Amino acid sequence: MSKKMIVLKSSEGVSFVVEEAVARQSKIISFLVEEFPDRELPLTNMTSEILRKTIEYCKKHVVEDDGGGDSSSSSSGDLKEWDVKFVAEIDQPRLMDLLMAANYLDIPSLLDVTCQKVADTIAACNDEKEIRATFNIENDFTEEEVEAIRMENQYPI
Amino acid sequence: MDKMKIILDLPEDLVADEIISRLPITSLGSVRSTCKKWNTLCKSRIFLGEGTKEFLMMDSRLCLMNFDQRSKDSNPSIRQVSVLDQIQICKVFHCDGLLLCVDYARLLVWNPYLGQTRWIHSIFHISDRFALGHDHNNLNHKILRIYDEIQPDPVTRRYFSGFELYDFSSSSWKALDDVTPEQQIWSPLYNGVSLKGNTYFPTRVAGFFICFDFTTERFGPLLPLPPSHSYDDGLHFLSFSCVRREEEQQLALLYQHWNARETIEISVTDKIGPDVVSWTKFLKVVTGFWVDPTAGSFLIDEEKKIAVVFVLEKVSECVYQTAHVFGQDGYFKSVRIRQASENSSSPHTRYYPPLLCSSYLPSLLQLNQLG
Repeated sequence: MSKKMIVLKSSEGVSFVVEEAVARQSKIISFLVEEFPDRELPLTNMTSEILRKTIEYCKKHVVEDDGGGDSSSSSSGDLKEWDVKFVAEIDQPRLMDLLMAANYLDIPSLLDVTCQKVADTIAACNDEKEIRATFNIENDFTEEEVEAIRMENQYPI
Repeated sequence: MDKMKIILDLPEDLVADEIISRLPITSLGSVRSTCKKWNTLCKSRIFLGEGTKEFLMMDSRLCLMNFDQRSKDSNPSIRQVSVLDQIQICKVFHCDGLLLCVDYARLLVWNPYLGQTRWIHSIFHISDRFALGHDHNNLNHKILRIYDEIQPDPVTRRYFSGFELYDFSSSSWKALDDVTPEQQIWSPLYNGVSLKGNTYFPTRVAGFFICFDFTTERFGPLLPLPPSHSYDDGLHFLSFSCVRREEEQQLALLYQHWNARETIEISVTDKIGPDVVSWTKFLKVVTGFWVDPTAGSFLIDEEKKIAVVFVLEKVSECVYQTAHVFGQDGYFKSVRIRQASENSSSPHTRYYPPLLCSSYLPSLLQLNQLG
């Protein structure tokens, strides 16, 4: 039996042909597929690169219904390992894009791994200077404000 | 082509709910200091991190205790709250995320989560008792001061207690003349416990306790203690604690009797208010030794069915601040937190037991915007 395919179009106008079951991990796409069957779905705020990454993730995580109940294509331990590697290989600006894509497309598991990666990166920083440098954030505090914040931050929580 | 996104381009809710909420509490300080946006974000909601946090007063210092809930065997980790180093705390009271710290001459209200403090002008005696509370909509905070007259009343020849109330909105004290509950004067040994804005005190009336209602600014009726205990001979020890059951706060009571002082019994309320109470038994433990009842501050974990009692423990020449953990089926563990230091300023009590502010949960209440 041939699988039903759908077409997703990136902001650059590149079309991606994806199995419906793969794409349906996005709650938004799931909704759109039902509302507009047999139509190309334009994702104007996603670049081809990010869309490709998102599809790669969804392909790995698709749960195939083989009639006898759900079975994932990989064991959960393998999947976890794969996820870690997946986010580790992405540079930071693209990680932000991917996180936004997961949020926009409503793919909870992808949102989870990308946010966890960002949280782990912040937690690994020794101080605010390192956080700013890592995430390219400008210090918008005045000297006095820094001092006030420092006083407050001596508190335990 | 879109410009490369940075973390500040992400929606604030996403950053707060999905990223900052995953950070260990130790990272929050640097996150706040990163930029204005994140500082505001961290103060707009509460990030708890792992484990339960409680404040503990030991040797005139406030300490933050981290209890890891995940394992029964994990020891409490204790960290001293260094910012309040400049004051020698002799008493501390807690109500919904605010701590009232009493040093030998001053009162300080502190919101540890926001790092805000507010000094309260007051003239008081070191033996006075205090309670922190707020009215029912949590808008106006108040402090109750209870003082004992040194001289007996010339007519009745009885010693009596006086009551004063500080109102944060007016920043002033007023005398409460008509609230003195007859014969319901509790022993100065016991402090009250605040929950849901009101404070509960043991009384001298056998088998009863009482609530000071911070909304009506008076005491409620006598409320019954758990009926299964005996109170008539007066040889019992009571201690209150506050326990958090999801969103609700309940009162927990630790009971010991002199004639069975190797047994502690803990009950918890199902319903608690200024004029209503109902009790359920929580834990009865035969300890095999006498758990010093004058220490008495404790906490319970309802899910794990454990009680942690904070005591002074004497081991030959040394005195320790110790946490005893009691559970079901004889579970017992004792954690020596540290060696107690001798108190030189008081001629009577050489050592103070650790005092727990039970059920601390951070608050976003702005102290500088009250009143």
